[in-house]
Amino acid sequence: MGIVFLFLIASHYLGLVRAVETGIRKITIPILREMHGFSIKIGENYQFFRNRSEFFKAYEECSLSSNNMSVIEAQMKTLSEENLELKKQLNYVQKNKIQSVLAKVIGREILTSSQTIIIDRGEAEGIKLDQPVIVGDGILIGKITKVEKDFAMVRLVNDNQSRIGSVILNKEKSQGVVEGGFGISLRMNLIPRDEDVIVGDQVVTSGLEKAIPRGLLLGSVAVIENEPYKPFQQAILTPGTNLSKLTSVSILLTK
Amino acid sequence: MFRPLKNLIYFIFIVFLIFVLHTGISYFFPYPFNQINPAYLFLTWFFVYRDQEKWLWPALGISIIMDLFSSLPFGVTSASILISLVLVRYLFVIIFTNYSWFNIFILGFTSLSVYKIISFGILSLLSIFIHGLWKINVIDIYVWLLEALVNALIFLFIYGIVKLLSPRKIYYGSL
Repeated sequence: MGIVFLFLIASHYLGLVRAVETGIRKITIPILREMHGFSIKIGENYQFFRNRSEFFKAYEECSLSSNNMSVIEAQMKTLSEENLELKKQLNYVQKNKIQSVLAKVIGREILTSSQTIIIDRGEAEGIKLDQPVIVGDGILIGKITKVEKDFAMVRLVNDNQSRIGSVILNKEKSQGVVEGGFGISLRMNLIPRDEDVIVGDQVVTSGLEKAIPRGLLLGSVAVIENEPYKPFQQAILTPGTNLSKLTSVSILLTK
Repeated sequence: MFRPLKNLIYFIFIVFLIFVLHTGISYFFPYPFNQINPAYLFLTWFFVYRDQEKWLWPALGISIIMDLFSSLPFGVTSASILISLVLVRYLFVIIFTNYSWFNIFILGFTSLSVYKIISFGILSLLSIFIHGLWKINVIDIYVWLLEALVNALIFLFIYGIVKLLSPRKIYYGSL
């Protein structure tokens, strides 16, 4: 048994059994995809009935904030026009836009302690390790952690092994590290104690990591922990999107 | 000639069934019930408790499939499962020996704990060579203990059901 096992491991790394592995994945991936889709539907119904009273409260808050957003949108447009004008005047050279690949989420890792999703794109589409994965217009949800020819795995930002260099969009532009907490929370650590952080501040990627560009949204500050005996303060973040209901993602093909 | 073919089909069917059951529980159940590891419990029941050595081959099949969908380096999950099953079987035969409900609970708890310890040991060793592969956290230990406890309770539950339905089958030895 030991010899057979070692032979299988060696064959995998030498690429001798790739065809067999691909065949097994082709059989099992449709099952994972259907189960994943069904589990999201079950989760949605469960959440609606569990939070019915909160649903109406959230709706009222949403209506109020949308009025405020209209004002902010107008200011943003003005600033955007000014920015364009300044760039022209400074002969600003626009960097090449980063290409991206759209992928569907076909499942989650079945080892229970990891927050990792499986997507249906791989090396064939140019995906490499540590490339960032986003949803929407730029909400970072994780990084590529494993790549095969026809599929890849993404470690979500709320996985306990995830660490992302980040910056808070406050006056001091406080830098820190966002770490995941077993799929339950996002926590930003190593924030200097003397810098002001308030609830609601947005947190984005710092750009200090090689493959992750600056400015991808991670979340917003929900709770601040600033103990006098600790050298750094911590912030618990609300993720930018619901990480348990991902169906489609984009992978940024950074180098 | 047909017997090996029949055994192969049976083997593939069992591996496939356990994989589907494991995936279903992981995807559909809320926390903490999604911590249940039916693949490992199944293998512990037949390989350790029922002392059926032939179950090591389905264990190899199941662990290889789990490795194909694992973010850990290939081989870590398989090695952890197989080594832990063999170690736990040795512990059960030499040290635990009796088959009271308390020992069944201990078996369930120990088997998952040994699996996790071996898994972390392998990852820690690999982390020396692969920078940033894995880092242990104190909270990891609490989560693993919870996982072992949940699985031990389910294992005890399965033992209770089997004892209720067919008490004569609860004995040491192959069927």
